[in-house]
Amino acid sequence: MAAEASANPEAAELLQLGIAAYRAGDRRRARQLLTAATQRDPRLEQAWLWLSAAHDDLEFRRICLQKVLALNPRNADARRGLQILDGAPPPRVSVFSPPPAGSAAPPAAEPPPRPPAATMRARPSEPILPHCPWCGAEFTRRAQDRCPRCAKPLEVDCPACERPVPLEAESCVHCGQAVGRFFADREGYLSRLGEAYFAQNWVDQALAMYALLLEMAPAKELYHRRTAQLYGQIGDTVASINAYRRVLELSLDDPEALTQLARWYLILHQAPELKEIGQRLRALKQRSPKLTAMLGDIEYELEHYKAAEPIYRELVQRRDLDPETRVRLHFRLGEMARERGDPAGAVRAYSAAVGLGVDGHEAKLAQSRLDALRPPLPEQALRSYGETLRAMVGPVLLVWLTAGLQIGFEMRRLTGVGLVGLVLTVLGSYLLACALVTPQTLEWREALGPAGLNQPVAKTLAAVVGGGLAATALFLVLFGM
Amino acid sequence: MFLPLSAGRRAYPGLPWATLAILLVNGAAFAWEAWLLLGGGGSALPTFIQVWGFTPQAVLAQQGGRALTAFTSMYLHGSPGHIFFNLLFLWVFAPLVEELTGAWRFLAFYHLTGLLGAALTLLLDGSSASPHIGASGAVAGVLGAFLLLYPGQRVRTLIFIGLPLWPRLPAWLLLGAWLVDQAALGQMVLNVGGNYTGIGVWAHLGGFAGGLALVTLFLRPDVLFNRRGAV
Repeated sequence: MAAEASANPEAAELLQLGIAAYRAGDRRRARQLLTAATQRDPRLEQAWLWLSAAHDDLEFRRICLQKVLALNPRNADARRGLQILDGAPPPRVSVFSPPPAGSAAPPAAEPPPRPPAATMRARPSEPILPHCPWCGAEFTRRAQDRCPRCAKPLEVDCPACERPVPLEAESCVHCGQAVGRFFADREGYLSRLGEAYFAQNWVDQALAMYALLLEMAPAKELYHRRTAQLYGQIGDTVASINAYRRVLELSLDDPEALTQLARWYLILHQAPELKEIGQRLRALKQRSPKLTAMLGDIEYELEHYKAAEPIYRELVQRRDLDPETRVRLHFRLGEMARERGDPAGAVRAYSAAVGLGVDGHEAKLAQSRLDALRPPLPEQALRSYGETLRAMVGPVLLVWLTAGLQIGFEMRRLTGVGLVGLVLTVLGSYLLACALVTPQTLEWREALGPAGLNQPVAKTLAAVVGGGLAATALFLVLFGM
Repeated sequence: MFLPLSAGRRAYPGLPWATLAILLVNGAAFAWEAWLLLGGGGSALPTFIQVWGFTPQAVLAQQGGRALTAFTSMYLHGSPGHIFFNLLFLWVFAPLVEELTGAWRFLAFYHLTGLLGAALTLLLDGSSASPHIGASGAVAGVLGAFLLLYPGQRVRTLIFIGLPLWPRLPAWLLLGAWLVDQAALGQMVLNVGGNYTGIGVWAHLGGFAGGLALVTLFLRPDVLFNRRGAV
């Protein structure tokens, strides 16, 4: 499989890195990179194909391969992969349920990889050796009052008064509550340790810790959130989605869970789930701009354009939007205008997207749409003398008609000064036309080189001299006859 | 009686600044006239209009500002109603024309059609000794251009036929009716042998014909080569 070119250079680079990681056997890293590539450019066919190979979940593989076929129905690799998947035993659960333990072999020819999540979710062997609750470092001996790595005092919070107690203390030094060494507040200690691993980005250790914590406190939202974030980091999308759904069950309006789930469902085009997230977002009394944008994206994805358009229109008025989002919103407004048969509105929105000067996929697409609605000037039009003459007509007619009115259309009243004015008009308007309107005429190209009048000095000079001559001509006509 | 209210939105963002500049100058000139009327004594305003209005007889006699007055008269108006109707038509139709010409070309086009209106007045009503003022010749040029560029465009129009109605009429119908009205008025003036209507009918017809005939010369190249449908 060769990496295809993407309109998004970042996505193309991520794809290359993802493929390299996959070939090096680092499937977790490959998943991370390929997931990031699909987020940057959802139309990147090869990224979806490689992502399907890098994933363990059969249902997710199927979705990836279906994405590939949606982008390119003739992709033989994706067809073969789906055929193999269809021959394999059906998955027992949907993509949004926890992945089955010991899943069947992946559909493609690659050997089934060791599921990274399996080891991560494994319960650490008991007893847990003492670790620094701040940085996660393992202790070499217990009687230390400071961590040898981060040098922070080794304390846990007292379960009674919640103030810090040294790990080695038998009872709280503040309230006297018996804590029975640091295992007295086992969950608190493990939670702090999990946070320490999380902060250090030790994903395996952190995941194991949160798996343990979830057994102790399955209704704790933070543990599900961390699990979701960690699975997201290693590109295990299914596990991440499931964990975020648990977060959402515990906290109905959690913005992070709503955002992440919406993002994934948008990429995967999961209409029923998008509807559900959309309903939750609509029910929120207050939404951040990010959530509002997400709601707009969901409505757009579901082709509820009447609902999406006012949301986007409201958002583009905001000053705190980043330029990339602004381009996306304008582009989509253009798409919706085009859809409802409003070319003028579409041109307006596409122009706004292009006008932001952001070099992205949507900006390029907006430009191509603009070109289709209002194609660029043909080359021959720029080169022809006819255009120069057409551009000259305005100033010439204006001055000559003024001259005609000045003399009451009686030629005998035409003076020498007036005649000079009439001639100067032609010269001035010619220079103006070349400078401002038809900068690529052949003779100017020959005189000034391939850049023609795009050379700023020549262009400005011609405009100033031409404008000056035309103004002088008008003055001579008005006051010299 | 009909009043255009809106001719649709511009396709591109941004202000029609040439149109706005013309509106502003007209407004400023009218404010100056009002100041002359209220604070300058009884003869200040008539004298001002006599000097800066376009008087065909004076032009033919080579007196006064001659061609200069063809320009200045475009910015002078005789009454609040006069300026209101001219600027309303300008505000409704000019931004869409300016969009296809660009601001500088639009300024040239506007003044050229105004001059054409003055030229036709000079040729057909050269004996007129009263000063002609008003932007209507140039505005008629904009109407002519609009008819050529947007014949099918729906224009929200306020019509009084007993009750006020505001249908969206096609431009060809609205401007066609206006043209027929002006042509009938012109024919009546010709029949009578003098313009006693107080309406610059020749300026209207000259400007309109000029706008219709010349606007193509002022279109932006990309519009001229690629224009499709409403865009």
